[in-house]
Amino acid sequence: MQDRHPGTGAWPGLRVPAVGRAADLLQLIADVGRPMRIPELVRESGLPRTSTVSLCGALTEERLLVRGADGTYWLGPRLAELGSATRSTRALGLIVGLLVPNRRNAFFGVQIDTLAAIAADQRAQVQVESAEDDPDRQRRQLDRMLTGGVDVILINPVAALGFEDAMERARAQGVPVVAIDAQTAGAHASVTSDNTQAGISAGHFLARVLSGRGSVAIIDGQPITAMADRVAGFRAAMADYPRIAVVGQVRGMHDRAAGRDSALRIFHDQPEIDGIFVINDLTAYGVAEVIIERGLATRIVTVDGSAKAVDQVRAGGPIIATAAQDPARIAREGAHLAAVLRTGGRMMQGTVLLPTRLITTESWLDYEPWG
Amino acid sequence: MNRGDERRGTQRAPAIGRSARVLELLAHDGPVPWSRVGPAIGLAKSSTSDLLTSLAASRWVRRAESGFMLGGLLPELCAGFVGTDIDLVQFGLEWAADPVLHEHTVSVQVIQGVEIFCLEVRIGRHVLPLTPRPGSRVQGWHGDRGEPALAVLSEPVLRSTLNCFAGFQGLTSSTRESILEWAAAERSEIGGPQIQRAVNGNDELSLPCPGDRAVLLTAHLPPDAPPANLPDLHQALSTLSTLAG
Repeated sequence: MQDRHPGTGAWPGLRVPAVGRAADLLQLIADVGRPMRIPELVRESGLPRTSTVSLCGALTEERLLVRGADGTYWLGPRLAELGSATRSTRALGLIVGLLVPNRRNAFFGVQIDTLAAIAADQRAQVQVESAEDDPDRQRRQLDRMLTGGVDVILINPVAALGFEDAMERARAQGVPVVAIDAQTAGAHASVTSDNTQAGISAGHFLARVLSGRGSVAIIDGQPITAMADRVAGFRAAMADYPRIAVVGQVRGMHDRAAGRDSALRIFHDQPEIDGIFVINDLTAYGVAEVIIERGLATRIVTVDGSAKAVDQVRAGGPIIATAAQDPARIAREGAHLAAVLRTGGRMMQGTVLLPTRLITTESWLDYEPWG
Repeated sequence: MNRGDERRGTQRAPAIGRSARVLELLAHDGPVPWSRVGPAIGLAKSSTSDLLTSLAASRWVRRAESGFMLGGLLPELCAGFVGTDIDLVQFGLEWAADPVLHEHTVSVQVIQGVEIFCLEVRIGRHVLPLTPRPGSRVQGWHGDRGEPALAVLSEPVLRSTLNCFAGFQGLTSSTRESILEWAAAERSEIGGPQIQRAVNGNDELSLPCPGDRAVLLTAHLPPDAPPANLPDLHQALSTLSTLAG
């Protein structure tokens, strides 16, 4: 609240004194809560009588004040009209916070761009923070956004737990927080791909390619629900093939270099792997490099549907299938949910699951990849 | 006091008229970039800059990334109509979230003497003979009978608002007593909450808000429509009046 000197309209930054004086007079009448006469207004506001009379007349002409039969002045109907419009236009000009795990992955770049386009259309602002895959950093970023006065927050979380306190603060402040791509405890709503379905479809396809027999390994990722669901879905599919052995699972960290390291570790322990399930395309690129370098026949199935992965699918491998997500649609749905929650709307369910689509050599033709 | 001086108010305080044009523009189009404001109200760039700076300094408007928007002063001034008894933002949020009410047009109305003044409204899906609008005013007393909304208030609250606006609306003491007698008779005859026909043709169910201000929540219903579930509607309005306070 800016400092002001009651009764002089001397708001800092004021170049047109009448504007501040009018605000003072109206605020005085609103505070008193009843119609007021000119002498009382003069006495309480400290304004000269001539100014008070002129201003009251002008405000009455504009229906911001109403003059009564006894010469008193009361708040006018136009205040209600404009006050209601102020509350309505709160939806426009929102400040949207977007927290992403990193900016390396084109998947998140698509989401940033999508949200920026929505914001431009809605005349809102977007503030983007990248956590560089660090949960502590993302927690601090979330806190800063809440302190900084954002209206809604979309978070692509780097951890499933650890943000609960911040989520409670967000609730208390009336700031909806929608998790996108993965769930995190305490978020008001979530929008994710059906990651379990992604793992299941990738697993069954790999099993079909392997004719139901062989050895496979898993490269998983950060401890977030999306990755856990993908791995769970893949394992559930593998359970249908007793002649396929899941011989190893290593942790990857969602980039090409980590994919290479994970692949090297797997091949060190299991030189003759038939297939690998990798939790996302970016990690899979690194795994594919190792396979190509070593001249191996190992096939990769992964999740995301990025352009580079689809290129390999078209070429016949090492990536032979990728369960495509729609990062733009996830961001759009997340933004829509946040807007609904902000205006007090209700959701039918707390998490929206968006289906994935498996892109293989049979289905890549009509698919438009992102990234 | 010179009435002529008042009638020439905007001539002596032209900034008020210009400010009102700006507020109107932002109410319809907000947020509006600075470059659009001057041409829209017929002001030169330097004058526009001074005016917008002053409007922002006194919180009539606020700056956003995308332009100027209506500022926080206006909702605060509107609170002057209802005191601290009701939060108009919370009213809107709770209305939207209520599974019964959000189908119906619900308004926050203030009884100012004999005037029923609509302060805020949320529009439902039913078509009404007259859709209430913020700022709309209805005469609540017709000489020998009043609008149903007046009888919803308790006697002390109705007496208080009649006394507060007595001079403003030229209400004699005998008129005020007539109104109070009529309202008491109405309350006695009607008993509990009822849907009643208002002068504008809408059927209305009104509940007073908690507190000592003459504030009502009113559900506006299309006349002769299939009867709304009165107990559910009454309960929902009652809950809303508590939550929005």
